[in-house]
Amino acid sequence: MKPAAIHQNLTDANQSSWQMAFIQLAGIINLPYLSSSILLTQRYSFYSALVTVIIGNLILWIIRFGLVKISFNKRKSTLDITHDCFGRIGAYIISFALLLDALAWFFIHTSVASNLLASFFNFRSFSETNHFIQLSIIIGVTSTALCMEGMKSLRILASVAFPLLLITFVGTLMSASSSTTPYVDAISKDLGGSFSLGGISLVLSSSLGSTVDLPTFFRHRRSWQDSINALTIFQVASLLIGIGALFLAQMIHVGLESGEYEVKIFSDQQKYFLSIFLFISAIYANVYNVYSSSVGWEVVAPKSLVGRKEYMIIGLALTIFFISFYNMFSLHGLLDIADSSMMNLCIVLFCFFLTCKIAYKSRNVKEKCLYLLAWLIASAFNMLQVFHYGFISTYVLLTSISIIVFFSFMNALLEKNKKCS
Amino acid sequence: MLVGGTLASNYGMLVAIKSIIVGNLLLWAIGLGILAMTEERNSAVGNIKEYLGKPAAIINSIIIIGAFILWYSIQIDGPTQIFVHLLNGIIPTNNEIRIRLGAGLGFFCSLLSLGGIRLIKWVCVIGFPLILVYQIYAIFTLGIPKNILTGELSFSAISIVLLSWLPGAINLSTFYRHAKSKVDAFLGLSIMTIAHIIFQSFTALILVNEPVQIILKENTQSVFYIIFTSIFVLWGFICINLSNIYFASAGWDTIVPEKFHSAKKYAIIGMLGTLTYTFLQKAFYMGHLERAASNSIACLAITLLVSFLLKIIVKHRLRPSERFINSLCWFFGWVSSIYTQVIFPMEPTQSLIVGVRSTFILYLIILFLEESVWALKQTIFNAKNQKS
Repeated sequence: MKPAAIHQNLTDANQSSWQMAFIQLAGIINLPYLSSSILLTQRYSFYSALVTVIIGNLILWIIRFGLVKISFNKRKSTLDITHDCFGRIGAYIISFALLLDALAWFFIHTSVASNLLASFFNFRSFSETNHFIQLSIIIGVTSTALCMEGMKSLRILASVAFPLLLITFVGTLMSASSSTTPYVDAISKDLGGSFSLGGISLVLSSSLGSTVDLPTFFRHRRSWQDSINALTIFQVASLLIGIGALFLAQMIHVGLESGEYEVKIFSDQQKYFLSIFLFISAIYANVYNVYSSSVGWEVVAPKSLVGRKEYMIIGLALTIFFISFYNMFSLHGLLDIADSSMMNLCIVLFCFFLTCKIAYKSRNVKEKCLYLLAWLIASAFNMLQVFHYGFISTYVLLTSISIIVFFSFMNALLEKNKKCS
Repeated sequence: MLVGGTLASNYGMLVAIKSIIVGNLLLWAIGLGILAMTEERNSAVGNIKEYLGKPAAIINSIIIIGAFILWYSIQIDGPTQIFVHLLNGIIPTNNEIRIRLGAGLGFFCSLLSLGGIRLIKWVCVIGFPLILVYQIYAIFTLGIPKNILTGELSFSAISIVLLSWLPGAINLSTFYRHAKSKVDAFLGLSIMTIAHIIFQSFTALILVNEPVQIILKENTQSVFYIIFTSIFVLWGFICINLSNIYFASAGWDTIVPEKFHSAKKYAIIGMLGTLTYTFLQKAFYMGHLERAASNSIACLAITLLVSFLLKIIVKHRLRPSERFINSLCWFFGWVSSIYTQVIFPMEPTQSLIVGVRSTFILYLIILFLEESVWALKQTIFNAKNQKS
């Protein structure tokens, strides 16, 4: 297998820092992503949640910097780095994991937006069906139609969607701020307490899965300077959005185990802002996920199905999967499994970066096998833990870090022994 | 295909089969005219452009896209009914399941359509023997009712056969432009006509006029029959809807900028068809829209055929307003059919017959006037010449 970048000529490879930052920022302003902030406000004091978000974002910045740095040479995508780290078979496995992750997120974004929108409005229907399926089909079709030009359409969509999302996000917060009966009164809640490890793991586990896609998007940069600027803009803005999302807990309640959302509507204005926000964010997130998973598709799909129409194929396939299977299994179980595997990939790639930078640069088959084994074992453990706890907990993240660091240490040790002998 | 079953239930099996044969022979003649119209490898819209001019081509492109999208959504409903019936008892089958299944099938077809004409070719080449074998098997399994083998040839039954495929016949050039040569195209047309007669006679023989009846009849409980029928229904659905998408794509190429002419256009048309199925299939105006589009295409077929015949016959004088007259006749026929549709909403064939008749009559009147004026002018001119 050749790296994905070589499979296809990279288009739109001259993006400015603002364009790259907008693409990432529009991808994180959505309800499923921001639910970690809501959960923090539900579980901890406001001050504690605030400190947790700040520290979590600092850690994320370091990891993101590492991933962007490692992908800098030869404009590598996530899968190209995975190929370097895991080898050929590993890259095939990760390709399927990427596609599974895209499927899980497509299911979540589409079902969350359709469910909430259907509950807000009573649309007139000719076909006497429930509005949920009609809305899901609209979101699926719009996402497919908008993703068909790949990165080019994503860039244009981001420049339109991000300002709209920001306006509707702020509008939603402002229109709900005057309410007297919120789920959680974020401001007047106890201001004491410090950050918690559980909170940090919540922030990290909800962000690491999407962080691993950064190289795929940042390979379109104009220069290294643009990459760093984009990363800084993205990090600062995502921190502010994360802090803003703490106030979402006033009107949205997230069931930790069920993963379901309950929304308190205080005014028509808030309903309209939130509806536009949900609709645009779901469509953008789907288009974003189609692009991030396309690198996986380029590896596993036959050559005739790769190229300009691949985005449309992925978008249509995801829509068909959604319509056929959306309530046949636990969506959140699927998402937790897919996302924990991406989180593990992110940790493995970061360890790979650290060992390359700090210790040595040898990449033999044994080393690749050990990294792949670390990812497989950590993901298998996570799967068992998700089945046991029903959601990604602190233990899941700690287990992953422990297993992966252990294997990375083993790698370093083996390399040292080899050098000594 | 269900035309045969509908005719058999209304007129009797023998009348149905006779009408199917005569109707399809007439369609063959129309198809022959459509294919012989131009030496170029034109699509249906290319022919319209050549004979009626650009404005009419643009309007007809929109009508053709709309009509085939409507038929796409109607075609989804047949297999959906059958599969919902088969799933009944395994899972609770409510309206939501029906929509999900139909939308899933629609999107699946859109996905396949990205393969373009090559995939359509292979799907149909593999599907044809499969469908033929299934029909023989189904006739032996279900048996043929023997008490309705009487009746005379019926004009209205022939009209139904004729009108059921007239929009397809006019669009034949969209597919037959891919023929190796004219000879292959004509041979293909003949084989297609024979296949049409066999397929339509099949539903007349087993007396099926609703898709779901194919699994509701006696002797349909065996697992093998259900599996074979499901494959037949699914394959037939894919063939017909891939063709619908390709038919509509000819209109798409005329009205949409060239940068959107890649294979993605097929998937977009398919998605529009699926959206129509999901949102509008039960809307009260859908039947009217479908009828108006069909009537327009039928009037267009008559316009194209008559104009083609006139091109062959009228060689003794120039026809400077040919395209304008053709467009006028088509438009007059279409407007007449819409007017009749409004007056007699419960009689769909009436509006179509009025439309076709109006187109033809206007042609005759214009031709009569044209020829008479030209002859008169020539006589005066000759008389003047003789004097001088």
